[in-house]
Amino acid sequence: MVEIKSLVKTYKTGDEEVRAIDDISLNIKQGEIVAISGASGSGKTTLLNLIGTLDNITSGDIIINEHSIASMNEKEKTNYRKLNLGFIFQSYNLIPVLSALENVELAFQPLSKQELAEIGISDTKLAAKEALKAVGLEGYEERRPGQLSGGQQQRVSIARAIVRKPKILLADEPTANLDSKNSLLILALLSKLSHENKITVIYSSHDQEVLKNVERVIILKDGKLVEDKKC
Amino acid sequence: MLKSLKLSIRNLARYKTRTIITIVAVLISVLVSTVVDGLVRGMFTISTNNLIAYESSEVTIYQKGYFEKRDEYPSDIFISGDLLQEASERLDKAELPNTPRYKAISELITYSEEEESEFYLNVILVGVDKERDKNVFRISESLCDGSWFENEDEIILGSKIAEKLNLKVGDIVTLSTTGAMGFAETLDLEVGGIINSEDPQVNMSQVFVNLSDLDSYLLLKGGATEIAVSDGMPSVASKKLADKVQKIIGPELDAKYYEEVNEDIIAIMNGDKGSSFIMLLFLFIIAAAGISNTMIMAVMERRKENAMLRALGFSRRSIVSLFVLEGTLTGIIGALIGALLALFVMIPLSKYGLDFTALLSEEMDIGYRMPLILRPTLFWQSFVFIPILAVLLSSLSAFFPVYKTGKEEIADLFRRM
Repeated sequence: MVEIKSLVKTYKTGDEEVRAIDDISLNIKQGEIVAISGASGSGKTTLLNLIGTLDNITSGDIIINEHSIASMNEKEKTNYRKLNLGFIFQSYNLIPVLSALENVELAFQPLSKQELAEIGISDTKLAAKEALKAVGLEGYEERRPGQLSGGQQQRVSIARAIVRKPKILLADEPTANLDSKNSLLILALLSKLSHENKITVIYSSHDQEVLKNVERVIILKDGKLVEDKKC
Repeated sequence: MLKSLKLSIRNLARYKTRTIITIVAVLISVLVSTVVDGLVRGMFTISTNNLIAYESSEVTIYQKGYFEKRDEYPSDIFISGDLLQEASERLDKAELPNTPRYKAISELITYSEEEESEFYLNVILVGVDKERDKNVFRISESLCDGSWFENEDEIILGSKIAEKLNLKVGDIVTLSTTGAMGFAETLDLEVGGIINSEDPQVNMSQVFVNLSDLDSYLLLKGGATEIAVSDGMPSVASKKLADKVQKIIGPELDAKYYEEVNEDIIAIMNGDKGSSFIMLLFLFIIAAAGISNTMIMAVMERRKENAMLRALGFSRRSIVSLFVLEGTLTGIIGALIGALLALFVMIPLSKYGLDFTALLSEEMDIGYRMPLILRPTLFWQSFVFIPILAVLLSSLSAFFPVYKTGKEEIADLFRRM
């Protein structure tokens, strides 16, 4: 459950102060598939980053399953991300010198043995292989990102995001660099994973294909919440 | 740790050209530093050994008041015959090889029948005990012609003196010198031998006469200007031996160790060591700047990757560590290859030496007591400490530019691309 309360995020650009998120309040239930949409500069990526603890809140709060993000320090945010969140980026952000399997296994590196045990992982290599299998990339383990298509790279990125069994998946424009066929494949995959594992998926996107594949659309304009509709 | 190591190695391989250039910079620093360090140490070691083996021995005993004026070779201050005998007996009892020497500034005069003219050359006369001198110095082993005082009234010349004055064994020369109490004396002597030692200063400026011959001409009455002492290991000298000798001979005489006796030469050599160290430090700084630059570029290029790693839960510290590991690996590879190459260079160099005879004249006084064929010393500490220093500098050079990126917010890292 994600509770956003009177959230504000401001940036300083020169002498000017920009209010990227302007007093937003909303709730997202566990297992929901939600899209945050809006024109460029509306604040959708900023909102996603704040939920993902990748940026600092100026005022207000985000409470995820009773954890207050605003009150966390850097170390606590890092620990929280490790065990609860998964990220999918527009440009995949895979490490080019690692194979697909190694890229997925990389997700386990920040975790201690105890943390691995808490999420039920005893063999990280095996878990990474299974994640790749779940996204339809069995047999592609040894290929490096340069040897994969855009769609395949995004699927590796999804495998990396889900391998730690996060409660929330945050996807920033996941289909922006893909053709329509791959976009649909990725969206279908994410929906399937969400329903099977009760993962909350939050997209940041203005892609119509994405908006058609979600349960709820939250529309932002100039940092404000202008519409929140179920699909 | 192993996974971080694998990632760092792969990242180094990712930018092959840049990595190779940086490794070469470290390699050159280590290679040049080690070889130059070996050469400077070689110069220092050879000079020190030659000073001790041919000029001043490990410890020199003087009459009180002589040491401060030793560069003037005062003839009125010297160890009396009785004191010398007593000191020598005590040193013999302590099993410390010792020999008396008389030193004076003198003039060597020769006459050329061909040119019908006289030639004068200022030399340092060294009166030696022909038997005991062999136990402390290696002058007698350096004869290249003639013999070691087989007859009376003989003089042994340094090779450069003989060359300059066109003298050979059997020639007669006149030596004008100063005796005890400062009176002038002229001696006619036959050239009995010519020495060509490892110490060019001896070859250029010293002549040797048997002390027993000098004793009667110069009224030394068994005395000498100094007693040279060795503990049988000419390449090792220490202040401890001087202290030991001082205790043996008592307070009437002064015992000085070779560094005190040759403080000017030692200061020049230490100064050279210091300036070569500074030069080598600059070399390391240049290599370090190269590594820093490489790291800055790597950090800039991998901003999004770093942001992704932070999003995955990698701490700031672990990301900085990845880059520092890359810098360290670069340093290790460069240092190891540099040290290995230095060994390959120095082994033949230490055998055959660097020949400067074509560049420098043998009569040039470069301050060092060594021939113009330079041989480095294989000093194991250089092969350990210089590479370690290179690796440490590499790590530090990587750390500082990367440290700042660790402080940036994740969202900023994504945004700045």
